[in-house]
Amino acid sequence: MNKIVTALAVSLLFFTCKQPSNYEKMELLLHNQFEFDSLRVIDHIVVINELGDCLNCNNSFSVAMSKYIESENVLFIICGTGSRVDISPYYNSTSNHVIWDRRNSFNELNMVGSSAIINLKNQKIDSIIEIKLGTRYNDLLPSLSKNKF
Amino acid sequence: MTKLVFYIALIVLALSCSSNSTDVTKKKRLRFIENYSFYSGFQSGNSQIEILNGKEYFCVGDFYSHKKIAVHSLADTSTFFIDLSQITDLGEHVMAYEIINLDSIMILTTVTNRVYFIHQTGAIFHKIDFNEELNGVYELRRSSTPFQYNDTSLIFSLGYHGLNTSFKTDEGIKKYSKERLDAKQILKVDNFNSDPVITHFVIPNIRARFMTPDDLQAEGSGFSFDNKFIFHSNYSDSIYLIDPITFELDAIAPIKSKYTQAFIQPVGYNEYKLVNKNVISNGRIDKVLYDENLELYYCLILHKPRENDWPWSIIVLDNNLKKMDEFLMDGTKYSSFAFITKEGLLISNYYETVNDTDFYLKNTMTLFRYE
Repeated sequence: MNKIVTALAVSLLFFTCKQPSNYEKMELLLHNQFEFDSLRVIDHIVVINELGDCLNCNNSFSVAMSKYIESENVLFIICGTGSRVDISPYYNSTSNHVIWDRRNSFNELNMVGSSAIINLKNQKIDSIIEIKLGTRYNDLLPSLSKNKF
Repeated sequence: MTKLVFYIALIVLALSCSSNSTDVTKKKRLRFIENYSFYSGFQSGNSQIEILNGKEYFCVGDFYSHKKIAVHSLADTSTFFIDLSQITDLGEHVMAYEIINLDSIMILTTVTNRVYFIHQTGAIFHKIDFNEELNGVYELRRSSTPFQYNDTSLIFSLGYHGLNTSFKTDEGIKKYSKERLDAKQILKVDNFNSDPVITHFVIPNIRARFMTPDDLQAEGSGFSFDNKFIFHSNYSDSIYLIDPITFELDAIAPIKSKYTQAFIQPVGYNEYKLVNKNVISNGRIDKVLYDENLELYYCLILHKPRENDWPWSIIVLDNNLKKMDEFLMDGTKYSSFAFITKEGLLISNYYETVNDTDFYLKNTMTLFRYE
């Protein structure tokens, strides 16, 4: 009997101490800092930042991804001030799917080391594709290219 | 009578002591003058002071997103903008700029080794291509003071590519590293307003004095030439003065901070993964400025960081490179990003304003005066 109680207590402790997943951390950040609560309808997060060793790659990626700006299942997180990467295609957007993270809060989650696409599935992170030299990002948003754009 | 003489002597002594104490109170300090907020519509580190028609301007360039240079008067609130989009539309990336006058601006491009001449509207009216002179061996880079030397000459720092360089073998890396340490550091361009321009490769690699081919160089050019031609390096505890005519080494001054060791031991090529950590975790000379009006040098020294604390100080040297003062700066307000103006030392107070809601729209600086 005592063993069962101990096992239950340990399990309880384990579950209460469970670290939030990266998806949950992201959800919390988007809610707390940017008042964005629609992550469940998002299939792809496009992160544009000034990190990594190929700023030109980030630059081209930023410009190329801007064609998806009106897509309902894509969320854009624009990190930084744009002094090292061209974020001008997003300046005139009125979409609430463009989040301006000028203080680089998203980078503090340490989920990406450069600009990236985060693919989501069933309220989990399915895959993260970081943009490097030679990455072909035209193929990175399959659900958009087939159906929704 | 003896008493009278004694009292007179006492008074004279008192007065002379008092005079000495006045000298002590005259000890100079770095005095806060005022804060500036330059509303450029963007924040950027591509900043410099330009003098146009005798007036000083604080200029800020955003080369990627806004594609323009904001030119802010230091005397009043006027601002004008220079459009860079015609150059970026060509697929060029801007590295640096120099404003000759409001209708003649020079733009240095990244990697492609070109200087475009544009009007304020952005219209390109002239271009110099340096690729033939550089022959694939060198690449143009900017110095701390970007690249205009005087009314007729330009000075470019040089990146070294080498001839037939291979980085695939240790042998190839060693060969490149040795060549790089022997390579010229500066391209001087005379008669830049004429065609053809005249070019000279000058100044051997000063780093050969304190680095070996096995050491990994990871730093900017280290040259600045506002009134004095100066070189400094992360890997040396000295500053180097260069003769502005002959480009020979003129003087070397060791820099001793009372707070930190101001140089870094380089890492080897095999330890390249440590290079960033090595740079940011040690003290070093970050910038050297020369104040022509006061005939003083300011050495901006980054200290060995403590936990979440990035202290730095300013060492003041007289015209003979003798240390006069060292001022510890408040690293929670000021960054070691500074310029000389006629009114004093303009230092970024980025950390003081970074929590402002409009921080990304403006560039904030504080004016200090050494007096």
